[in-house]
Amino acid sequence: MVSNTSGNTVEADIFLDFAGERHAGAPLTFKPHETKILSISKLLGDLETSPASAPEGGITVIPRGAVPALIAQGKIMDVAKGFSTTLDFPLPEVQRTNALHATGVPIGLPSKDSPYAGTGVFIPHVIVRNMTSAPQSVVITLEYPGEKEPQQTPLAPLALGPYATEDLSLDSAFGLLPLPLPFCSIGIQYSGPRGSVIAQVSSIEEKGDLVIDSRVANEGDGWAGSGGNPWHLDAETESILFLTNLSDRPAPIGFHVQAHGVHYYVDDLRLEPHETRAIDLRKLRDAQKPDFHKNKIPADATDGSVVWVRIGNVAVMGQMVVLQRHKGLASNYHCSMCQCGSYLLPWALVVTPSGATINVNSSRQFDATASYVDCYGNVYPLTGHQGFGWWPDPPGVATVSANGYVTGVSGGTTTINALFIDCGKWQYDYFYDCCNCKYDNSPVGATPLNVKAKITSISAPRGLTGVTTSVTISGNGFGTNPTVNAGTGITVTRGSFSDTQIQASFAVASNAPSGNHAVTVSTAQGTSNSVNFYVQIPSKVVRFDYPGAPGGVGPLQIITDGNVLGIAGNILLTHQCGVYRNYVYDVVDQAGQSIDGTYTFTYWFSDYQGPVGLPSPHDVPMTPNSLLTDNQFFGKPAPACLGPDEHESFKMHHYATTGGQRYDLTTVITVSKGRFSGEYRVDAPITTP
Amino acid sequence: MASVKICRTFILVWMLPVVVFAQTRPGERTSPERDILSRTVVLPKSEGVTAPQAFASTLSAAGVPGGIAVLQGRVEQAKHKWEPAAGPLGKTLDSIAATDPDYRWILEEGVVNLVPARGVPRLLGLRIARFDVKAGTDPRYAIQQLFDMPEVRKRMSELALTYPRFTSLQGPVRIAKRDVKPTETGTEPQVHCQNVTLQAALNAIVRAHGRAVWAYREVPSGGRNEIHVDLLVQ
Repeated sequence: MVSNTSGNTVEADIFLDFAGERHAGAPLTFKPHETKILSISKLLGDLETSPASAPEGGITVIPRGAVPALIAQGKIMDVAKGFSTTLDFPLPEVQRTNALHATGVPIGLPSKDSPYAGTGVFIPHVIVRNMTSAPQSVVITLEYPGEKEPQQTPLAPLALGPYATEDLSLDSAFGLLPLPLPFCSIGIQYSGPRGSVIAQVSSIEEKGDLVIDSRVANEGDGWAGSGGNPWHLDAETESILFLTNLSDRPAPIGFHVQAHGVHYYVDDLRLEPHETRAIDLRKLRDAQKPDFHKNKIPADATDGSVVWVRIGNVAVMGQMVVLQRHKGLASNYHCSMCQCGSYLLPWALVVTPSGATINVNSSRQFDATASYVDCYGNVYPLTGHQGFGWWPDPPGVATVSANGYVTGVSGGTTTINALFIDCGKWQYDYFYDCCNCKYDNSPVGATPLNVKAKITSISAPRGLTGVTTSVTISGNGFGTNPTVNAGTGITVTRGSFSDTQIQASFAVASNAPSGNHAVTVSTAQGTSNSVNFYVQIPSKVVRFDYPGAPGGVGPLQIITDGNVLGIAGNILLTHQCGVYRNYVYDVVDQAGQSIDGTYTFTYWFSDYQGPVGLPSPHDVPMTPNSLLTDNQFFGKPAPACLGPDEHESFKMHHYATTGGQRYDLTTVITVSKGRFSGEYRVDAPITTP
Repeated sequence: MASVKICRTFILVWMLPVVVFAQTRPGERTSPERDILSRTVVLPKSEGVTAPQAFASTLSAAGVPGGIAVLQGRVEQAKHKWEPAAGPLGKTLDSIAATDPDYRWILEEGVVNLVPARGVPRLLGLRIARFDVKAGTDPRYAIQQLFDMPEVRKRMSELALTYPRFTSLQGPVRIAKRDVKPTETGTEPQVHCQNVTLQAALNAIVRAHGRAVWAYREVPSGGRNEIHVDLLVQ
């Protein structure tokens, strides 16, 4: 069907390409506004051939004259099955490159997540036509979603003879693909000059019930990248928008759905290089997810429009497919609106989250929301962290990666700034037929960030109940006026401090809860993480492995007229005759940890049997990092010596006093020493119930 | 010419000699002594304690060296319910003396002594010409050295006092967790006393220790009295 759109008479030449040659038909004359319907069969008949002998070929209509006036569209009908497909008549001279692309193509049995799921099994057909008398080759590349990123599978080059038309059925490529796939897109690269090959992509359902035509776009359409399409949803009808990024870099997209007067925005749509995204309008509507204005697509909406626009100078093509499953109908809409996409509103760039607080060494993703306007005045928000320049001011408190990933470095407050780093506005240049950057000014978005202090360690990590313990808190971000909290029953006195260290004393009350206390540092930016300070309760006495006393028990020493020596070899008594043994003990807390503090250790006696009498209680003032050594000697001043059955025995009990509180230790040491039927012995079994 | 009583105690930690001369006049307290008596003492309540035990615990809590001359012939000491209130050391000592009026306390040269109200045991009043203790000497050994001196033995004989028939050591003392070597013995004396009483010499030993408390008692045994000298706090 060829129409003269002018008020003048127009003549045109008709050519049919088949069997590797171009055949000229009789010239046509179009009256003003006349439409002619041309039959390929009749035109072939005029050339004394038939569709049977020329089953594939091409038709070219070239109007004469300087002013373009003719438009054309073709239709191929299957009389038996009743479906048809449409032929486009692209203008070879406006083709910018020798690469073509079709998107949203169903292939094979679509996967369950495919918008084409349940509609049949599809075989894509790529029909390519060589417009020249020179042979050339065509490489078809299939692109499809992968687990992490879009995947590509190039097929073997196809030789395309002079004026030849080839219908390539892609079922031959199924073995090369990880089927099932939700859909694919098809790249067509030819070797001849731009415009020398035209192509059509149709995916035909196996039973012939449905044909999905795909728009074939030239990948050089750098200014292409916006669209406005109607959509419809009902029990039988689905609407799917396919968007394909034709470039090697990310493509942010402004996206807007209108229904029942509601404007709904998707502000984080971004296509990876060569990615095709299928946006199912039904799923988008039914998700009822509020946009940044808290708007939702009305749940009962069945019709509306969708408008999308690329942001930045990145080639993006789109196609809306409206699919009636059981009627075997598919409609395609492709409508370009704005030549050079959208441009940045110079006053609106918002950084989120606003006023965030993080810890030192922890991180958080920041985003910027920029607003863009297309050539029709539609405003699109775009939220993301790519494509922006990020920096903190002042530095030193936090670092920001190139993608807006913020990491706290030191306690304090800083401002996280963002700046759009691509061109602010692309403008179409009619002379060069391309988009040029008009301005690259960008607003600066900013939001304050608080970085809280972080504690890395505390020493001493434990302290005795009722005692004041000096501690050093290490970390960073302590700032200029930190306050330290150690929980119930611990009074903190802060001493000297720096940004990385705080000296403090922890006065642990006698009634402070025992065990772990969370210690935190608060600054103007908030409260740090916590580390534990353990409040110790003296609980029991244990033997302590010590040089000269393995396992806390020294060797039995029998002397006739000698020195009684302590564990360190120091003289305790001289000129003694008897027996002794040195022991080493430690006092531990409820968790078995050595007591770290100053307190009084008291031992007292019971069950005494022997000639001397019950000893008095004794106190031992204990200090941090100290142990107890016990010399158990029984004898007589030399030259007297013990008789064969002179000995003593008793029990030793213990308690610790700290902060005015007495803590009875459950350990009992039963001592027997002297001569027993002539045998020298010192025994001190230790028991802790 | 008046005799001079003197005990020099060298605190090795600081390497500064602390020289204390003579005794303080009654009613007058030097500034260091006022500091000692104003130290806050916090003790738990306890029952069935004797005045010497309460005294030792009080000095232990205050970190003050001291000595106790236990009443002669009073082996079984009177026991009391002890409910000390947190307060200065001087007040706590007063309350001990008030609880058991058979005792009184005195502060001499930084050492607090609890002595019988009717007078100290006669042996402790013995004047000795000279007594030295080398640095690093265990206070138990220092006490043995002191009571092994000929003039002490002579006086013990005069007073019908004997040494204990048996020697028994028991009960732990503190050592440093990291100190695995014997304490170094210095060549300079840690304690150097001239013309002092035995009590003053004992005080010099505990003062050198820093916070030990000696206890002297006489225990009847076979018609004579055995002397027992112990360190209740060390």
